[in-house]
Amino acid sequence: MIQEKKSKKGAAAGLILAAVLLILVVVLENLSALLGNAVPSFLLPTSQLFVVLKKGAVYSLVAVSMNLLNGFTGLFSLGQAGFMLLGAYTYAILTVPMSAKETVYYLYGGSAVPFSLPDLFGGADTPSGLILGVALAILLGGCVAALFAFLIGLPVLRLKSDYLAIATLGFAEIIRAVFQWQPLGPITNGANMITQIPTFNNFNITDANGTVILRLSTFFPFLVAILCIAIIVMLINSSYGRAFKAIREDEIAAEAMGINLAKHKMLSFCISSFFAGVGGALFAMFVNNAQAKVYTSTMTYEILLIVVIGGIGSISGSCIATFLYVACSEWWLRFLDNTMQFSSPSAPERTTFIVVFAVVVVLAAALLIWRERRGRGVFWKQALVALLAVALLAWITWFALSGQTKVPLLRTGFRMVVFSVIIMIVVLFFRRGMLGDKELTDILFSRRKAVGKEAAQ
Amino acid sequence: MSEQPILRLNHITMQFGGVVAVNDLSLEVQPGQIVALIGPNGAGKTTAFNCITGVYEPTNGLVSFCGEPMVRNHPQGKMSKSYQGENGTLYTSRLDLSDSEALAAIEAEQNPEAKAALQKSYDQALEERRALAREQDPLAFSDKVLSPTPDKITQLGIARTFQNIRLFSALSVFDNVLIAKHMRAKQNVFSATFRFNRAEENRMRQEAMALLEEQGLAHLKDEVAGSLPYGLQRRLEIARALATQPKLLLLDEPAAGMNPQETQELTDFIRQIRKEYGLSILMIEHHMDLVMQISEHIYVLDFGKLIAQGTPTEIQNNPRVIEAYLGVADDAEN
Repeated sequence: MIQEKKSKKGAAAGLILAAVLLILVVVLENLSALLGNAVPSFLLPTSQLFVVLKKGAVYSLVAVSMNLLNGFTGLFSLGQAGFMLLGAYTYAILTVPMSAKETVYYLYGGSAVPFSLPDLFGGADTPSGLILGVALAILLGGCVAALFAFLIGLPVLRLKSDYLAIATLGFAEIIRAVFQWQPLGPITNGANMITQIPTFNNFNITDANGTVILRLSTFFPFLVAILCIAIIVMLINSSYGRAFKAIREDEIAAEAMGINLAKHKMLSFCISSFFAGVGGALFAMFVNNAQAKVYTSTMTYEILLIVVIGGIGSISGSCIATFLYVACSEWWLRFLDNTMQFSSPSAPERTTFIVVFAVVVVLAAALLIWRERRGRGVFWKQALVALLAVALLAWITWFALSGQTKVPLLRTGFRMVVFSVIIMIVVLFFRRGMLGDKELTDILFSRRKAVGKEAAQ
Repeated sequence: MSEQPILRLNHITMQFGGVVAVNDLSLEVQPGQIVALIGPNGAGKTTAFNCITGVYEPTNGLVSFCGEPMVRNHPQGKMSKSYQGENGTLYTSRLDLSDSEALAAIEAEQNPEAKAALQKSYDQALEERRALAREQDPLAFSDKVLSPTPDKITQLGIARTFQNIRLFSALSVFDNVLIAKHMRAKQNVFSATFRFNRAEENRMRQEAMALLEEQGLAHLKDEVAGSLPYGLQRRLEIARALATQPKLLLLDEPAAGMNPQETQELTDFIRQIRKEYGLSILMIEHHMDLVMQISEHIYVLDFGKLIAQGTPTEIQNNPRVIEAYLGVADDAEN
C-alpha cells in the first residue's frame, strides 16, 4: 500500500541521513589529524565546534524525548531535568573506577557501591570494559529514570496541562534536593560532584604512547543519540504512536476509540523519561561529572525552548533547533557577553558590525512583515515591527555618526536577553515553531507529492 | 422476550449535585433494532449516552450489554443522603429519599421503647422491599459497583459518535480510522516499535483501507480530517466508530446541521450499515422525519424522565409526547 511505501522511503532517507551524519562527524573530527595544521582553526580538536556538536547530540536526544511527551502525547511535563539527573547519577555511580572511589568519595570514606561496571568487564581502558560497561550504565540510567517516572506517574498523570507541569516540575526539584542530601553521601557523594567517570574522550583510539590515532569522542554521542531518536521515530510511526497522537488530539474521542488513557499516558511518560535518563547519562559524560545542582529547572526550560522553537510535534524540528540553540548559546552569540570596543572609528570590524547588524534588522523586519500579510490587526503588528526596525536603524546611524566606539548593552548575560527576545518573537509570530508539526522529509517531498496529485486528477 | 436484549438500562439515574439529569430511565435495544431516544433540548439524552459509554458513572442503576452487567452503581456516601432519583430503594441497599421521612419519625420519637419498635418495623419493611427487588431483578440488585472506563466499553463492542464532531482533526482520514484498530491489535509496545509483527500492522492497514472504501472515503484518505466538509466529517466519524467492530452503535444527533436531502442520504446510510455490519443502533435525533422513518422503537425523554415509548405511530399519537415535544413540530410537518 501507498502508506507502507511512504514509510519505507522515509526509513531509507533516515538511514542514509544517519550514516552520512556519522561519517561526517568522524571525518570532521579527524580532519586536523589528517591534514596537520593546514585546517582552519575551528576544526582543531579544541574548537568550540566539537563542544557544540557533542552537547547538541545530547540535547537533541533530550529534546526529542520531551517532544514525544509534549508534542505527540499532549502531556505538558516539565520534569525533564529531574529524569536527566537520575540518568546522570546512575551512570556516574556505576562507572566510577574502583581505583578512584577513595578519592572521589573521600568525604564519606569510600563508596557504598562495591563494584564498577567497566571494571567488571575488564576496566575502562580496555575496549570491552569501556563499551559494555558504559553501554550498560547508560541503559540502567534510562531504566532508573523510567522506574521513577512510573512511580511518579501513578498519582501525577491524572492531572492535566498546567497541573501536570507543576507537579513534574516539583518532582524534578525534589529529586535534585534528595540527591544532595548528606546521609545519601556514600552513594551520591552529597553535594559534591562524582568525577573520574568515563567520558566521551575515552572513546578516542590511542596508540601505545597515548597519542590519539582516531578521534571518536563526537562520534559516540552522535551514535547513541541517533539510535535513540531512531527508536523514538519508530515508536511514533507505530500503532502506539498513532494512539499517542489520538490522545493529543482529543482525549475523549481517543478513549471512545478504545485507547486506554492511563496505560498509554504512562507508557509515553516512561519512554520519554527513559530517553531523558539516557540523555542525562550522556550529559554526565559530556561534562565529565555528575552534580545535582546542574540539573535545575533552567535546564528543563532550555529544552522546552528548543522544543518550542523547533516546532511542537516535529522530531527533525527539535534536532535542528537543538543544534542552532546550542551553537548560538555556546559559540555564535558568545560575543554578546563580552563588551565590544573598537579602537578607532575607522576600524574595519566596526564597519562590518554596523553592516551586519543593519542587514539583520532589515531582514528580520521584512520577514516578520511578509509572514503576516493577512488577518485582523495585522496592520498594527506590521507598524510595530517597522517602528522597531526604524528605531534600531536610527541607533545604528547614530552609532556610526557619533563615532562612539563602545557598543552599548553588551555585557555578561546579555546573550540570555537576546534569547528571551528571540523566544518572544517565535511565540508572537511563529507560534508553530520552525517546522510546525511537519518533518523535514514532509517539506522536502511535499512538492513532488503535490505534482503527483495533480497528475492523478 | 425470547431473545436477550443487546443493551438494557435498568433504572439509570444521573444526578449532578441537586440536578437530576436522567431520572430512572429504563430501556432496551433488541439485536438488529434501530432505537431512537428523543426529547426536547436538555432532556438528558446525551447524559444517558454518557452513562452507557462510561464517560459518566451513573448515580444509580444498571447497564447490561448482551445480558452481562456492564455498568452498575448505587448512591453512596454523601449521595445516599442527597439522592433524589425515583425508586432508589428498590435497587440500592442504602437509604434514599423515600426513607428519610420514616427515619425522621423514628428520630423524633421520645419514648425509647416505641423508638426501638419503630426502628424494627422499618428495618423489616426495608428488608422485605429489598427481597422483592432481588427477586424481580437479580442482575440489578447487587452491591458490586461496576464502572469501566470508556475504552473498556468500546472494547466490549459499543461504539459511539459525538454530538459535536470529535475527529482527530490534525490527522489524516486514514489515520483516524487506523487508530480505531489499535485496541484490537495483537502487539505490545516493543513489537510495534521494532516492527516484529509487520503482518499485524499490514492487517490493520488493510482493514482500515477496506472500511474507507466501503464508506466511499478512500479517495480522501490522505486529507487532513479537519479540512473535510461537514457532511463528510460526520460520515468519517461513523466510519471510525465502525472500525472498532461494534455490535451496538450509538449515534448522537447524526443529522445535526444537515439539509433534508443530506438527511435522506443519512437515513439510507444508517439502514445500509445496519444491514452490512449486523449492528443494533441507538440514536439521539431531533429530525423527526429521520426518526419516524427509520426507528423501530422510540423512547421519549422529558426533564430526565421517560414519558413515553413505543413504535413511531404510537409515539406520534401519544398526547403526552405531543404536549411535551412534538406539539411544536406538528405544524412544521404538515
